[in-house]
Amino acid sequence: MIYGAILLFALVFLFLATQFQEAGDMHAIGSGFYPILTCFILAGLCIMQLVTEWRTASDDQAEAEPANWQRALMVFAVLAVYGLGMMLIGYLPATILGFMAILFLLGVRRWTWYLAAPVFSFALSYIFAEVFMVFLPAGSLFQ
Amino acid sequence: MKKSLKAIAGVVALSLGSSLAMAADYPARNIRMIVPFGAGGGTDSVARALAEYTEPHLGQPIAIMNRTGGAGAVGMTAGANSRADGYTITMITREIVSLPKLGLMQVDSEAFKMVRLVNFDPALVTVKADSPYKTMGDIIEKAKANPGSVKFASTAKPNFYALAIERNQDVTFNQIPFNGAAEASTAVMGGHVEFTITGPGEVKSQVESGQLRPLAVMAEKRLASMPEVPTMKELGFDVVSGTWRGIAVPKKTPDEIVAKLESAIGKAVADKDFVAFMEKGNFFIEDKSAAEFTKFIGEDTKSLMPIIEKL
Amino acid sequence: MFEYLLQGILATFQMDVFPFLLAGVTGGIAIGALPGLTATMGVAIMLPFTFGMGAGASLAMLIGVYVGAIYGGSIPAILLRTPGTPASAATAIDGHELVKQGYATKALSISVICSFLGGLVSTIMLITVSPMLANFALRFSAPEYFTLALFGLTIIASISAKSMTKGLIGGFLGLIVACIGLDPITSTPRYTFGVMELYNGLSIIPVLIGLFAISECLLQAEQLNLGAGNAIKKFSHSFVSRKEFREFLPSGLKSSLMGTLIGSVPGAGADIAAFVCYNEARRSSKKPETFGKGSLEGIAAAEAGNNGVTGGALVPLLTLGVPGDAVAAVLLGALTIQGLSPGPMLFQNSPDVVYGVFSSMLIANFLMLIVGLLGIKLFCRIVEVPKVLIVPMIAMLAVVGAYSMNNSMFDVGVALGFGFLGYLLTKCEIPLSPIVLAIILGPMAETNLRKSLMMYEGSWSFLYERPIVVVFIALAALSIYSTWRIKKKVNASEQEQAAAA
Repeated sequence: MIYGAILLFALVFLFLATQFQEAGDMHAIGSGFYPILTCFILAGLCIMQLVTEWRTASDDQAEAEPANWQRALMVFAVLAVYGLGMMLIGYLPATILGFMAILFLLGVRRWTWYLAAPVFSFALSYIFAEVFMVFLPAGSLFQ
Repeated sequence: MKKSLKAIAGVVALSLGSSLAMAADYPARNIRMIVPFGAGGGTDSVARALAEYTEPHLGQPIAIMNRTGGAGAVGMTAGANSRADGYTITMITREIVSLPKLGLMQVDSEAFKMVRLVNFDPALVTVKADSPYKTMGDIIEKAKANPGSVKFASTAKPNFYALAIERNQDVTFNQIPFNGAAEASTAVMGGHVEFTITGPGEVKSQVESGQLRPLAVMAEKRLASMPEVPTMKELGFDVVSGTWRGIAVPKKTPDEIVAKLESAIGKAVADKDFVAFMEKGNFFIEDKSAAEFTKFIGEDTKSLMPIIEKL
Repeated sequence: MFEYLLQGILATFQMDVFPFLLAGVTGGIAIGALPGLTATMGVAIMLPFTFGMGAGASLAMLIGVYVGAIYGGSIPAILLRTPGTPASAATAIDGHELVKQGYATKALSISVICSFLGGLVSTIMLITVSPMLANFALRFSAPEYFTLALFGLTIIASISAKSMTKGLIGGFLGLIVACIGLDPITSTPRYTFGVMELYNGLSIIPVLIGLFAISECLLQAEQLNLGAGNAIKKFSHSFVSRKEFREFLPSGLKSSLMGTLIGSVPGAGADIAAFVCYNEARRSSKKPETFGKGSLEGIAAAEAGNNGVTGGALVPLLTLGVPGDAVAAVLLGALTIQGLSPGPMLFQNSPDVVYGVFSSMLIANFLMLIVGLLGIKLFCRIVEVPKVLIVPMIAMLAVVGAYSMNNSMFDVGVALGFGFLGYLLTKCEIPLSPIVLAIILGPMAETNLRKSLMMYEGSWSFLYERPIVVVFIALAALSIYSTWRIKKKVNASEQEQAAAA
């Protein structure tokens, strides 16, 4: 599956690379040369890997997936929402909520653990905003 | 906490008051200055020093926010699209003129109201100490006789300094791009390329130690720090070029706020400590008021247009 | 010379300098350890604070930050597989493997010892042979840079533990991703899709944070089993044994020298040095098959290599007046603010400043060693924090780290995207470090190949006409040969095992 996706990616980028402007003067190789070469090799590697997997397919099928991939996806979704939410409600509240959401997803139910969220969030925003003077998003709702 | 309360108070004041009242209170909280280039570079140093010396005249701290990307396009676009309340100011550079014309930036100088020009660095042509080129004329002659044979270390692509010479004299150099003045001047010292064009400050110590030899400065008049170096004009090549840095705010910013910023920055630029900083860093002060700055940008656009159209 | 150096050292221990140096080193370690804050950024942020200080204190503090930050990046790289700075990406490969095996203390102590070694060797070389190093640096031109990058890239094939093809797929994916942005030679937009944020290419920091930190969070979230997660993981407190010390010392020393050489060449920084030294250590190792599985030599090489750059980067600054890397560029700014112009004249005009820099470098490295060793116990606590807390902590730190580099939400998006990519690739056993390596070295290889062709007017003769180039090509060939040899060895032993079973 993933090799198919990478193969597709390589082919699309290969096509795009052929559209790049070629070198104007004779001394140079153009913008397209290196990406074309790279995409070409990558596509070749993917085909090789697909062939290998196909030949040994029976072995791979045997390995069951015990892992809980839905939970990984949900954590990822929380992070994406957290990134967007930071713009809206500001860094500190978003971080506290995001931290708690991940704890919840990981199956933590004891409330004492949730205290870590504000402590860590305050510490982090203090270090970045006050010590290193990084502008953390203030949240557009409050501006 | 105190800071955020202050910020909230500021926001409330903003939404309640008219633009006049807003301008009267200005600045009520800290100001951020967007610098479109990375921490540690020339633009960043000038910005940090300017912020330092402007603070006392505004009565509020100015914090630097580096927003790099797209050779300055990302930071300047962010600056143009920021809230027009004077709390986000932007250090703009010559790229505000060139990038939009090259199609590499959506906003142009029209999106800004100019506050004050602070610095103009003319370009300086240098060669290796033992280079066979004794004058600028030697380089032009060789390039005319044999187009593309003279190797030029370019600090940015497209390089408007070299393009200006190429256009004016109808020659072509073999332009080899380097990542900034440090790499370009090292390549010249190593003898891998034949000449480079940089800001005077970027090669001052190599010139002083005799590793690089300046041939010409692309300014209207000779530099006070290098009086022996002729200008291009004196040598008969009518080319003036350089880079500049100034402060601007979004177009819709109220004039009262612009006036306050303009005068505060004006005082900072006149501050003897700032002058000393600029001298030590080999940056050249060019103090122009808002109106003069706007006119200056118009002229610079005119001078760059024919070069860009040729590309 | 020794008289000046002695004076410099005495001056550095004065109360108007020493506290700043110590603060710089400690602060630098913290800056390096936080993802998204790099050595360059740390030094640049500190610069305005030094406006009012004397030259000695100002330079001491900045040098302290520099030395500390390059080391500091290795702490999270080892403990959390999240490199604090790009310079520590190579350290993460073997460092985190060791932690997984329960040897956190050992990994951290090798890292601090070798960082110290690299810093010390490079400082001594800076003091004694900097004119020769400068001469070497001046001989570096586009062909040399190209082949140096090429040599570094040859490791891609061997980095993968299981399948060479998979390692190569990761590497070439990185090479293509690195093409995004304006072409460095002609400024043609490549794969930018009109997005302005992409014109300068993807920043390495958010990519690094995504690939390592965020993907690790997702993997942990998936595997975490609450009961097991709360149990404190047992780990060994054992320090390095004398035998182990003898094992990694040679590669540490060699990498210190190589790091100094690479640092003295303008435009090649600590990240490049770490990977090149790592590759060379693996190539010449007696046990190359242990690389990627917790090799002590691997950590030693990467850490000695990246800290070796610190002294090297000051060589062109002090001898030629040009900065060797981005941090040295800020130091150049600090010198000019003090009214000094760096370059050979500085030795004649202000020897006290030059020797002040030398002794600050020396003492900063000793301070880093002391702070680092004392800190190991504290740093190791991170491993004892329950995994359910570590996952959200890394996730939140990753997001703010990606944001802080450039105050950009776009970079947060890049980090998240690469986090998901890293998660998918890890599930398919495609290694992630070749991607980072390719992003760091790929553009260097392409740009300099094209520049070489421009300089040689289309001729490829630079490949055999220049001695340094020939050396690098030979090393690259040897590296590929040794990869092939290792694979053969590993395959043979696997077959034996299969036969025995």
